[in-house]
Amino acid sequence: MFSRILIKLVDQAVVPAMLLLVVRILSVIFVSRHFGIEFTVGQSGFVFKMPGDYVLVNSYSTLAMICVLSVGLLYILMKSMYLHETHITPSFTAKLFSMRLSFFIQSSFDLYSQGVVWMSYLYLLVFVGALMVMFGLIYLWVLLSAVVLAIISTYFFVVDIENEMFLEKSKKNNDVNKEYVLTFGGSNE
Amino acid sequence: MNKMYRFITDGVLLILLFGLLVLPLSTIGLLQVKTTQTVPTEEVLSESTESTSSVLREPVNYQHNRYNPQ
Repeated sequence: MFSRILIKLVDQAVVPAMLLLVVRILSVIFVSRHFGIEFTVGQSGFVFKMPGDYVLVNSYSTLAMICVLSVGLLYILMKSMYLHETHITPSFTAKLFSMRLSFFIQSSFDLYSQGVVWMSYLYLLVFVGALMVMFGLIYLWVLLSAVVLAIISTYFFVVDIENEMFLEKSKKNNDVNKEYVLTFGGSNE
Repeated sequence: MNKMYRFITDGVLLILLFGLLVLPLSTIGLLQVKTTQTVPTEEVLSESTESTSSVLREPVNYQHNRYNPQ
């Protein structure tokens, strides 16, 4: 019927979309109040009087979005490194079960779909940030921080996928379902 | 028929996913700078021609009278 991957991606994209939207709006209000910048809320959105104020508020609210993305990505990367059902150690699994926190252990499908969605948000933010820097709408250091975050998170994500792939290969080599025929009662000649 | 149905539903899901990905970034358009009020072009042109003619008329007469007093 429906594509299972697409449904999962849509499902995983709802929460970060709403979160980033709320953070963007709240950060605009908070930064404007913090720097004492006046703005009016019209039909088209937040209207600032001075272009300098606009660049300041836009830069810091974009930075707030990058911070939220970094927290989300850090959470997913930590889960994929330590709570991945293929990597997790038996002792840690036992601990989690004893503390009734077994729901933290997640499958590759869940983790990678979350990772793909959050990374897509980060790449899109880098792309839009580059455009805004070109037109002088945000400071350059905001874009650089997003690029650094994108490089680091991509590296760790790729490392985790590599670990997963090598585990799959080693599992295939050590196939436990292979049939062995044992013969008993043989003569000791 | 099943393939067609699958194709349509997957397309809808893709559009939905793309919309969700773009939604937070579309808030960039929410911030704007107040621009100066524009004046209709016809008014500007008529005012500019009047002022230019009035400015040009008097100094020309003045210079004419001063240097060529005929």
